[in-house]
This record gives sequence, structure tokens and C-alpha cells, in this order.
Amino acid sequence: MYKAKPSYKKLKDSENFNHFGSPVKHYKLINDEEINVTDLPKELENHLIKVEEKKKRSK
Amino acid sequence: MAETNFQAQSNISLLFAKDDSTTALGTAHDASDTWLALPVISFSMPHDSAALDVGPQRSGTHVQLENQMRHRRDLNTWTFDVSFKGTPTAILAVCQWAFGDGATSADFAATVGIGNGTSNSTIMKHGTAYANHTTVVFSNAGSDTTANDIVVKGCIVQSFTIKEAVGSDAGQLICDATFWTAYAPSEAANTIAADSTDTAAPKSIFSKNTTTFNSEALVLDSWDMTCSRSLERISSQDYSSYLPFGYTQTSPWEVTGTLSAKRDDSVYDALSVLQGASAGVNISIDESSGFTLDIPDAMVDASSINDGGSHLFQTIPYRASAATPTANVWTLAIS
Repeated sequence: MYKAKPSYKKLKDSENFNHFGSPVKHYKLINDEEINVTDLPKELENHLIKVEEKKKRSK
Repeated sequence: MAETNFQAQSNISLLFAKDDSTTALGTAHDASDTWLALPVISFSMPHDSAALDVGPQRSGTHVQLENQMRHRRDLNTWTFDVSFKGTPTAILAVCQWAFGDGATSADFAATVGIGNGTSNSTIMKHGTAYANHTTVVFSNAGSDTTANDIVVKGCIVQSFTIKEAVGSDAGQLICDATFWTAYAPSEAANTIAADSTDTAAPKSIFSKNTTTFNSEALVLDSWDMTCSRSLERISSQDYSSYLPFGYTQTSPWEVTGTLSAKRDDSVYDALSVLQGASAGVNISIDESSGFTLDIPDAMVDASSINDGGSHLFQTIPYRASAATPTANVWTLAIS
């Protein structure tokens, strides 16, 4: 799971997650929510911070 | 004298625009965007036409008069179907145009709405920039000798199915998508060329090594998952351009599918779930790497025995839901 660093919010649409195919992830980051990314684009590595994954709900 | 040009179906190829940033709804993507030549198997094509509305009949006349008629271009929407091979690029692109998350893991959350990125939004406005719609070019599909392409803008995916079966398509993952737009297709001479041709191998049912249903390991013969919703155009800005004010999603997303598994002890162990326990169970369909589909809350909808082959299969129709208004209905990690 990842959250946005302040620098992410300054990226242009041609640089943020809109560019990488996910307006949903972009808006979550803008709203300080966590996102699930399995292949983090290299260009975004410096603008996101890894956070500990929450435990899944057990069935 | 009759025109000499003609259109061979086999000569038509499709290009899909993937946003470089965002594009205003109602504007065609341009050369600065990434144009994908995705692995299309089959397709249908939209055509600019309108339904004819017939006004009331004048008393004392016994034919319909020309001035009774009205073409309802203000109500127009267009759909067309495209089947893709299930490569990671094709699947993620369809996810982007359906619910706005085309970056793995694609998370189909309860909040996706129409897919423009904003949680629970069900509208898209003409002229507002979004990253969840595409422009599709049907190269060589135009009927004119020079305006020989069909360009369709403002396309989003209304419904899609991903599926694999041992007995069809060599076990390859297939994605059937229905695209929807309220902008008229145009016939034009389009000079866009592919920036990227997707030549990756499609995912395969023969690579699935872990499939569980309520933690019971299943041997799948086939599986599918369909996500669908209703879309409508918002009126018409005027009665000359017939441009819509925007789009709205008019029904919730519905996620349904079917597992067909070898009928064995695992099926028996899941008997209480198959009987109907009114509680969601987890479905996981995984490869050793590069494909993890997780459906955390699926309810069985009238399971049955398929005895039409050499051995028995259990058919398990399911409907997936979200545990909470913000939870995921399913997630797909694909690479």
C-alpha cells in the first residue's frame, strides 16, 4: 500500500496516475488515501511512500 | 457508374487511445496520446444514424405525412463490441475505460461509480477533462475513398466479461467489452499510427495453479466474471450539434459470473455454501505469478450439476458484492 508524498500533488496529469491509467488511484492519493499497487511505475517512486498493509478481514 | 472502392472486413484494424494525461469529454484524443494496437479478436462497428420518431396522425389522411417525422438525434447513443485476447495491457486498458483503475492491481471498489476517479461520482460532463474515456479508430472502415476511417470519441466501457475455458480458445483469457458513447462516429481520413503494438501472451487457464472457493481447492474447467451497468446521455445541448451535456450511470454495477469445476470432495466440503448460507465467501483464481483475481464476497446463485460430459462438473453461478460501501468487490493483479 502507498500514500502520496506532498510532491505527488504537484505533478501534472501527464506525470501522475492519470498518465499511468488510473484516475481512481490519482484521486485517492490526492485525498490522502492509500492505494494498492503491485507494479509501481518507476517515475512515481519518489512521490509515494510505502505504508504497512492493513490486515484483511477474516471470513 | 458504380464506385470501385470496397471494404474488406479483414483490412480493418482498431486503434485505442490511452490518455497521456486527461482529455475533455467530447474531444477526440490526438497524436500526443498513446495509441494502442491491442490484440483484437472480433468487433462490431457503430454507424452515425438516428431512430425515426413518428408524430400524431392527422385526421382524414390515410398515409403518414413527411412532416410527421422527426429523427431523434438528441437521443442517440452508440455501442459496439470488441473481443480482446487477455493480455495484461488489454485487460488493464478495459479496466481503465470501465471503472477508472487500469494500474495493477486494478481494484473494483464499491466507490468506483462511473469511473472518472472521483469516489461515488456517477456523472461525466461534456468539456471536462477525464482519463477514463478513449477514442477508437476503425482504420479502413470508412466508406469514402479518402475519408476511409471511422473515429469514435468519448467511449467508455459499459460492460465487460473476462473468461477462460479449457475447451475453447486454447484456454486463453478472453475479454469481451461493450463500448458506449453519446458522440456520433465520424468518417474521416485519420493519420494516427500505433505507438505500441501489444504482442504479449494472453493469460491462460492452463497456468492457473491455485483456485479456491471458500478456501476449497477447485479444478476449474471454465470460469467467467461479468461487470455491467447502465449508462445514459444527458439531453442535448442544442438541436443542431446534438452534443450531450454529459453522461450518467443509471444503475449500480453488477458483478456476476460462473465457475465450472470438477465435481469432487472439495465441492462436497463447500456444500453449505452451495446450499445457500446468505453469506459471502472468497473466490481466488491465481497463477503462480502475474495473475491474482480475488473476489472476497461472492454468493452462490443456484448451483447445479453438469452431467453432460465424461465426468461431472459443478456449475457455480455467483454474484459478487462489497462487504461495505468502501470495500472492494474484486481486485485483479495482472502483469
